[in-house]
Amino acid sequence: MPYSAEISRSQPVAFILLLDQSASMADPFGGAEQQGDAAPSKARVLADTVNRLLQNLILRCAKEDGVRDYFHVAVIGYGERVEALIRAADGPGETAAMVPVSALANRPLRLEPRTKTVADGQGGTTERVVQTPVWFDPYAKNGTPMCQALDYAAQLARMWIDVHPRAFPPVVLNITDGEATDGDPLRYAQQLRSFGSDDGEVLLLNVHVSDSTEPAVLFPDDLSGLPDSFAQTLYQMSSPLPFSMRAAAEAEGLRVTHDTRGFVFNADPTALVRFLEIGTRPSTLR
Amino acid sequence: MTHWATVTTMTVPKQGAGDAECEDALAVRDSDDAITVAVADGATEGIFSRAWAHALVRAGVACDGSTRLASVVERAHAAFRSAIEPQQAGLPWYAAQKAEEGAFAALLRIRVEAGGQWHAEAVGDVTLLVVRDACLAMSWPMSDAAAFDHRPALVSSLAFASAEAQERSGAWSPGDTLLVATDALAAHLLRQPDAIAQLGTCVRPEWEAFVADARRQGMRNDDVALVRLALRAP
Repeated sequence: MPYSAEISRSQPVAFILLLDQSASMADPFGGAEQQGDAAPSKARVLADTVNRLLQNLILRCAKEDGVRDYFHVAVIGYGERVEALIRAADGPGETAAMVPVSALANRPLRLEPRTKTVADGQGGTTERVVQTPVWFDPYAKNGTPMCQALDYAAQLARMWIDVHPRAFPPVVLNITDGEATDGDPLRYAQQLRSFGSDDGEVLLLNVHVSDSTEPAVLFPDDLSGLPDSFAQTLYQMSSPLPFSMRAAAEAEGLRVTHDTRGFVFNADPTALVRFLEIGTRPSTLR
Repeated sequence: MTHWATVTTMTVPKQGAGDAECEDALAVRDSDDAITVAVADGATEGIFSRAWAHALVRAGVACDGSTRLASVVERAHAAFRSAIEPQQAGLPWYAAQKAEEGAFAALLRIRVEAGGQWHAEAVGDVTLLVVRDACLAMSWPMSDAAAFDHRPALVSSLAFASAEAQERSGAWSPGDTLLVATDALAAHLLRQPDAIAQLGTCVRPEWEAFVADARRQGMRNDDVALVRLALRAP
């Protein structure tokens, strides 16, 4: 069955994050509770989303003796330039763009104290301050070279597959407000998704951070609920969720069908990280 | 050692992992009138899973036959807290955050009496298989290979939900073999009952060859623990 390869340290999964850093990302996020000037920028929402994704990837791999490298991560920014925003300390050229998750764990930009609601052990909850890692701050400048970014992701994915031909294929997560300025991203998305390992084709998942105030949409299975052409294009670019990820989504109570795609509109995509199976997983761990 | 049973125990870590990373644990206590077995499977994605699995099986065999699982887990909680306390100071951010969520393991505890009865309690998918006349007579609590998944019920190091615990009693006859296996092996044996006959007489080092062969045949690459009780007339 495709998309069923074991995820392990000897057969890790590549996560390639594409971050839209264009000037339009400085506009207010439409899905925020606050409106007007109080609304966070889309760039702020993107930074929070990426930081939370990385934190979740690391926590899934954390053990008492360190972080196991079940995942390797590349973070590509696109705006003023298309470039790798993190690099391994060693390794030549493009291979340095793919960083083992343990290296990320040990070098966030900073740790910020944040208040978190946790179980008090007596059936209630209490608030506790926890150290929360931050790797990226908001950034927004120039155009949206999404096609170039997708092309870069394709290069990284192909290099990864050459080295890991039997592994679960690379997962590309594109976080954007959808307004490509360098061509038709659908064509580049199709090309990216055409590469694959023995276990399946590259998975391209899109997160649309929009200024629209339409309701959030999580893993839709058709175009009908999507508010604009940008969302519709991103939906079309997105891979259908494979069986193993649909099963994990169903286990969490999400409604999925064969047509469900890896696309979210103004919603938190962190659940995607949980849909990859590493091993026995307490249902309380989120 | 009791004269009415031959007890064999075996553990093998995931392929690619070392013995110290194996998060399956087992313990056996035997006497003339009863044998108590506990097998636990620490969750791969948890933290301190190995320490928690070992605390559970040690408590599982230290408590007497009338002790309920809730009390066994309570005893394990105390031992676990003492074991990990020295390691908790100075944990990096990710380990500190994950430690707050607790450790998790599946557990099966069985008491087999010389008089011919057995009584088992379980949380999760560690499975008891009863082999009679070289055939699988029953398996519990899992009976279908397709029902194993990555999210079984688990015992938490933070609190015990007794609603998750299941109980089962039965009778054994001389010549029966009782197998208590963690999930990957249990699923494999349910899927390929022919393998039960091979396992019936397997001893080290054949055991490791058996696991390697099972993995080649599609058994999930996971830690494996097994306790085998070959029973005779007392």
